[in-house]
Amino acid sequence: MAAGTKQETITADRVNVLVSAVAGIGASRVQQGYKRWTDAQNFESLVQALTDETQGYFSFWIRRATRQESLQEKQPTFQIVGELVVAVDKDNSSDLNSAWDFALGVAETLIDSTNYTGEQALPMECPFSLYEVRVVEDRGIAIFDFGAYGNGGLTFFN
Amino acid sequence: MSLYDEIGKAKAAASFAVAGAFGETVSFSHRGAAGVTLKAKVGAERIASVEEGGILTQTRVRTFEVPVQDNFAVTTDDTEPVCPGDTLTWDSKVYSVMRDGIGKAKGDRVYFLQCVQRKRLASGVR
Repeated sequence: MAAGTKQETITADRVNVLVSAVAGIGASRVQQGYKRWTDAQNFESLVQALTDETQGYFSFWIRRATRQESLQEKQPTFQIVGELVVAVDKDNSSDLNSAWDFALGVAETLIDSTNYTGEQALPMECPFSLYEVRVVEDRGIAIFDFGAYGNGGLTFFN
Repeated sequence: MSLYDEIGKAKAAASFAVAGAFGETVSFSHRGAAGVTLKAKVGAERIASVEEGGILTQTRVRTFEVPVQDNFAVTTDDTEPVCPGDTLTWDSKVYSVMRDGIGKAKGDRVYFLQCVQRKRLASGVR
């Protein structure tokens, strides 16, 4: 894995560090950029092995970047999108408050401008949504959409 | 042709012995309970790759026909023998029951289960 050298990739590397430090995720459950799963890996089974609603996998990648002529007044932005996937117990009811608290904590970490320094860009907004609680699996998984599936994602000022 | 079509309702009702003669051994887990060994007729598998956002996922959909038998017996049709998310393991592959609606078909003693195995191929592809 090569370290980023442009503002966008440097910032993405920082996002990786920030999410890796979130309790319930950790470096082993963060995926940055393209991820080719091996035949032996079953992502949904990996999620199901986690503690309900308080642990998860976070994957993200740069979706959009901007280069513009320097005299333009509009502030250029770029966007990082991804998803947070947590386990839920499909056989018992849940208000999902714990899952939402967990996801909101991740978003608050990502949007905190004091977490970014030097060449890293500053975050602008981080809308996200609960995309789906998938119950076709053994234990169920909740997918929080940070822009991977639709609108949303982490927008930065260049 | 379904198991029900092949053996008829009366023989299907005899269930376990018939299933043993016709079927494969599978392990079935209802609502997260410990798996029980059943006999089932294994249908064809349909494989598709779907992309949701930047997530490329392979889905394998397979049908299983499960006659009522020991560990899978229900006293009335009102009892719930299967529900979405129940797992069925066959040939070292774990399938999940997709939905309720297709649970009962082909007569009242044979359950026609549509199951899915989902596997991510890659993420971050667009």
